[in-house]
Amino acid sequence: MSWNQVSQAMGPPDIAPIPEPGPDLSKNTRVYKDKIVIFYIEMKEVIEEGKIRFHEVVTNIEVCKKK
Amino acid sequence: MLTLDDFMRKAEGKLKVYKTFRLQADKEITEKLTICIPDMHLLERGPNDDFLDGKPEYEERFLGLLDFLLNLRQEGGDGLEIIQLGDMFDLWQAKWNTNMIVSAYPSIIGLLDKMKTIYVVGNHDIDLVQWYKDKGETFGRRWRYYSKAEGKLRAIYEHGFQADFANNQDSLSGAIGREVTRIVGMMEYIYPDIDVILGSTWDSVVRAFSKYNVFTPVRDPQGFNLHEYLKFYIGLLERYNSGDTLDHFGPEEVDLSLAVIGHTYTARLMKMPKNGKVYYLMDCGSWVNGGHEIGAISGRDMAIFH
Repeated sequence: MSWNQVSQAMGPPDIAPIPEPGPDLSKNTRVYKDKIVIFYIEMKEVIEEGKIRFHEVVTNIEVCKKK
Repeated sequence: MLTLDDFMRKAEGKLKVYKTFRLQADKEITEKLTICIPDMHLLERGPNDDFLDGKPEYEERFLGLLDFLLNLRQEGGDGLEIIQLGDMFDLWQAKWNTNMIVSAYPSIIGLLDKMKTIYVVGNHDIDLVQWYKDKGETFGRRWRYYSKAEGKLRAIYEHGFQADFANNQDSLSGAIGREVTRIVGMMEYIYPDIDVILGSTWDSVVRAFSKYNVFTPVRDPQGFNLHEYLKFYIGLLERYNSGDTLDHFGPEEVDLSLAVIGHTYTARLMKMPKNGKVYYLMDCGSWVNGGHEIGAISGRDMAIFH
């Protein structure tokens, strides 16, 4: 899923304080306040070193703008 | 149908009979090579538990087993049946959120699903047997499963907690036990390590109850250890065979000889003659805390592999 798809669903990010030092969230981070986001996840079959493995992928998101 | 010897040969030395647990039944038990996977308790100790004692090699080894079974399945199609015997998910620690477990172990879940695994529930994932209006049984779980040979039910597969006195729903003590289990589950929700702190206390309570299930047979000619659930399961198989159950099978459809369980973490394979028949109990051990056992049945032949 590209960022464009996410931003179309969620709109422009909110201005929010930079997170505390520790996790590297200040770089390339978008913050949304007061929103509930539902991520729809499915399993995707991939081949890793010749073996079948599974990854979770986001197939859709839904944004609830009102609580 | 692959024989157990074929199965071992294809594993190229990676599977060995556990202790001396291999025997021939007096009649056909399955018409497919049936592989039984016991307790895994995914996520019981959090996202990096790697089947409880935090060893990633255990997960890798399990994935290796699934790769091998997937190859067999692709070669043999429906001639291979895989049954997971319950307590695959540990919902107590995952706070009843199955998504956390899928997220931690996507390849394990994905491979088992790809092989059309039959899932039976245990006492740590019992809440996955849920029937919702308009959706049916959502998680694809069963209370128990059966296999047939020669047109009759010959083996029953369930987790094994049903034999545990404190969880036996057929009795008042079982109903109380279930409530105790729920309370312990709620305590774990509030404080996830409470089961570790109460571990020995809880175990001693279960031991005190389970002694009521002990059956003292004549001296076992095979020298196997007594199984504390033997009496319960022979009784269950006899009730089925006589039609004395609430299940929908009539006595003409049933000739059960074998019960396959997990739950105790201690692999055993037992044989017990009673009332002119021979009954078998296969306890498939576990995949937690270093356990690496599976049960396997092909026709009359049955074994526990490590």
